[in-house]
Amino acid sequence: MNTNVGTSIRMSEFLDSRDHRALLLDLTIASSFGAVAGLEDIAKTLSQCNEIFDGIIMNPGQLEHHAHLLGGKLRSSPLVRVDWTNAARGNDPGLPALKVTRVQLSDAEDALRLGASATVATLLLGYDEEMEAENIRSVSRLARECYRLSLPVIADIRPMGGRVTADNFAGSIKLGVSFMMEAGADALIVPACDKETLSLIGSWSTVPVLVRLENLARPEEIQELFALGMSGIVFTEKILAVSGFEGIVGSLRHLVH
Amino acid sequence: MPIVAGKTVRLNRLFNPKDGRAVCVAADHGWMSDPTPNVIELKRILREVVSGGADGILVSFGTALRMGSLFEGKNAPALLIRADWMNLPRLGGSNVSNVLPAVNFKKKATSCAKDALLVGASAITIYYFIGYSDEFEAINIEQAADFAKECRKIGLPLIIEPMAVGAGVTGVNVTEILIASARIAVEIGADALKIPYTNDVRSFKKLVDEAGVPVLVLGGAKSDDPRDALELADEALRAGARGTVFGRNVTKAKDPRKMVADVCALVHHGRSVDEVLGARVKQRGRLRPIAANCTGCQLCEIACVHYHSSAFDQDSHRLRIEYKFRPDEPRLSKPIVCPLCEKCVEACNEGALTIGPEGYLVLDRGRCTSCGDCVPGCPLGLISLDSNAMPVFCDLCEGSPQCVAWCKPHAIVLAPPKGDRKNVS
Amino acid sequence: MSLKDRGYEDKVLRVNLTTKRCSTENLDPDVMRLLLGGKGLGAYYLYKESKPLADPFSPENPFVFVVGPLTGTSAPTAGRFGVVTKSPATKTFLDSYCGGFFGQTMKFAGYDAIVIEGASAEPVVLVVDNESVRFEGAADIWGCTTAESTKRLKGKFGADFQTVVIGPAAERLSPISGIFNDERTAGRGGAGAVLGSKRLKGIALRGTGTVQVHNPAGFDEAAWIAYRMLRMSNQIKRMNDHGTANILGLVNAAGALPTRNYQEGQFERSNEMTGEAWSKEYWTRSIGCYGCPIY
Repeated sequence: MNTNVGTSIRMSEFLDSRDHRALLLDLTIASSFGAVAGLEDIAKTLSQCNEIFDGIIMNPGQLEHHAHLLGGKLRSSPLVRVDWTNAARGNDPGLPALKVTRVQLSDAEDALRLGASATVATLLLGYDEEMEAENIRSVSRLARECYRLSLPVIADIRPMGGRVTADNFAGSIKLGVSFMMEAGADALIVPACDKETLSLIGSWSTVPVLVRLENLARPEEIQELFALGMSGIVFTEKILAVSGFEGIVGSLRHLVH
Repeated sequence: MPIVAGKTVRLNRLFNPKDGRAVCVAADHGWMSDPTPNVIELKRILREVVSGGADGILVSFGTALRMGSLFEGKNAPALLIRADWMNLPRLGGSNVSNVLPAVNFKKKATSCAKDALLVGASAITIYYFIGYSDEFEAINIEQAADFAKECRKIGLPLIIEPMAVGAGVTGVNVTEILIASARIAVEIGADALKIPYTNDVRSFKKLVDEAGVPVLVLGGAKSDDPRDALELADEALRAGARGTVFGRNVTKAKDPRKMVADVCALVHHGRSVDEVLGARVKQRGRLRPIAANCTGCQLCEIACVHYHSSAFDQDSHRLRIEYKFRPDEPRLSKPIVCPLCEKCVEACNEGALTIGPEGYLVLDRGRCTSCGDCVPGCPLGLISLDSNAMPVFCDLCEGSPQCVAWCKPHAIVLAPPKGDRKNVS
Repeated sequence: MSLKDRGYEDKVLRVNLTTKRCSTENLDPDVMRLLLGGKGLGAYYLYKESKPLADPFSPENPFVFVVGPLTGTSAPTAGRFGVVTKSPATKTFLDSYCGGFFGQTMKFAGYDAIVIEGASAEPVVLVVDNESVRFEGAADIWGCTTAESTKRLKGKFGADFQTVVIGPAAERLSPISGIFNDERTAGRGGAGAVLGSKRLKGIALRGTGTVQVHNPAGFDEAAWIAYRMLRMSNQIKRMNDHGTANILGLVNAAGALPTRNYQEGQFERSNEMTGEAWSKEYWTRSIGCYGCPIY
């Protein structure tokens, strides 16, 4: 029922106003590992990608430096991830995460200054209670601030902690969905999971739900996701390693919109 | 510069000015617990809650944003916002199956009071946990104080929800702790309280009196029997509570609209629980066993004995449980109850044993000659003679059968009288 | 107000297995004022009558069956009995409790406790029918499993007799053997072995008396509220749905599930052992103990 004009307009900058779908790219992994394959020359990557994605999720620093490549009628809108975590490092041989933490990098006002169409906040699940509680407090506060400033908040649900197992993976996603809907998120990103769970989330959620895909998917898989009620796809830096990815994504784009 | 006027006007939105009472429903479980069906189907449930006549609904920001239209209109419920977050429902085995159970208790101030004004709230609600640890209580007090300060500044009522949980809380001290916590919350800045019932009218009255602000009793977990929540509300009202905030007892009910309407009948229209349910007192019907539900615990026998006698025994019950043992299978059991077949009435030659005007067996002691013919007359063997050679038989506890009332798994129910389709319990 | 008006029977049965003599005695009202329930009563007897450094398997180790003032009434969860003795496993105080239907029958038979001393030369069963007490030889069931012994005793004495029995493990003095009332067990600390050392195969007991409370109306109201609290409890609902194993998921999450002799605190297949898993795969029906809503 949120008839906030500003929020609606900003959402439409990356979520198509006719089909209410989005195709996004997440390039924020560099804040965990530095430049991974495909992100060595960020300007080049952005130039390759800024006409085939509706939105690109960036970290605040890189967004400021490369804003000139983003935004506008035919180009990807910038979305800013407002937090940092070492969770992705896991058991990385170079930089293992002995203690997983999450830190706020930016806020609603800062995101607007950067020209972002939305903030992306990470919700880490499966870690200790203090991590979880502090994460929820932080995302909730962000949502309140963003609401004031008519800036959409996208909650990126990541069940990555040690307490998440194969058996409770789907349940953890549902828990995150519930928490973030109640927190007032304007959209959600969930990891790929079983059809039944996605279908439930699709029918239950009153905000757009996007699925995070680590690998390029086949056209049939994409179509199935939308049939289950999903509103979009988020690809990661991993697709940059696929040769000719621009063409593949370009053709997938026609399925999305 | 205190803006007291804001608090007064907003509290009037919540408490009906005619009787100063409020029937509220808590629907913020999805913010803190695993998403059960009552969370997933929240929109439909809240529409029914509104049509039941609720005075206020407690929700999270997200729900307020998504379902704000429910709160529009002069007669619509007041919007109460849950301003904090905690993980108690996922702590230990205290709730439904938790997908990511927690071990350490956490509570966070996830918004500020001003945020609630943005969505048109009439009040915010926050927790105050006491009994877990001194450090945790201090965090709770600090958060409460911050909210209280802000609420004073902006004229927004603050409802505090004290709860006694933790190793320090036992069956012996929980009531005392709750009573103290209520007053502490007021000292810190609560304008009203949402608090568990102490299960005793006297102690709850002490809680209400010593608090000195409106007290809304909460329902806790849902019982299979809707009567339980209504009885609890009734007792709390007698103790001076100004209303209720039921959550799962409403949102998980088969008919949320009816549950809210029933509570409103108690709170606003002075009805008794019996009147509201139209049940349990002088109801006509026959006992019907449902063997599949019977656990064989004999509580029906105990209740039967104790209704008719001040003492307890194992022999004078007027119904019985029969057991069947099959090899390698759990024990089967079924209640053998009086079906009002009237064969005992036929067997009585003196006309002493009859079905009375209220639909259950009655004995005319003047006519009874202690001949004992009624005993073999009962095909189920449910009649015996007492030490005065007077028949002992099922009298449906004079219209309010105790076996039905006390049986938790519903293995004995009151079915409509023969040839009568009405009056299902 | 006498103890008898307050839920007690004011009678203790004393059984000497060596002499095969039985007697009864009253409770001391002053002492009872200081004791809580059957647990307190059993501890009191053990405190009074056990000898220091006595071997748990010696005839000198007293063995007490106890119930409390609420047993036999409509108070929820009071339908239990306890056993108090010196444990062969720990060599110290042992109390163990059991549901089922033996507890209230002991009260209706007229006893707050049964104190067993000495040891029998040959296997016996104690038969208690209200005030009448006798011994019967148990040679024919010595060596039988608890299920078989129960069946035979019920067959011999009648379905209105409640039984407690020990099995072959207790006969062989296993320090972790239990005492069984049907399929319910007093399982802690090897109490079964103490009875095994006394060659008491079991007790068959019938009771047709009463339990009195001095304020029946008030009691009824309090019991109703107690049941309501249980009906409105999620913890109890979880027990109903998934049994005691319902806490397994949490224990595993907390890292406290003993795995491989406690080398680790989490078991990778714990989800197959939780209450939810059990109830989904193996539950057929719920059965309850006396008056109990936590079936």
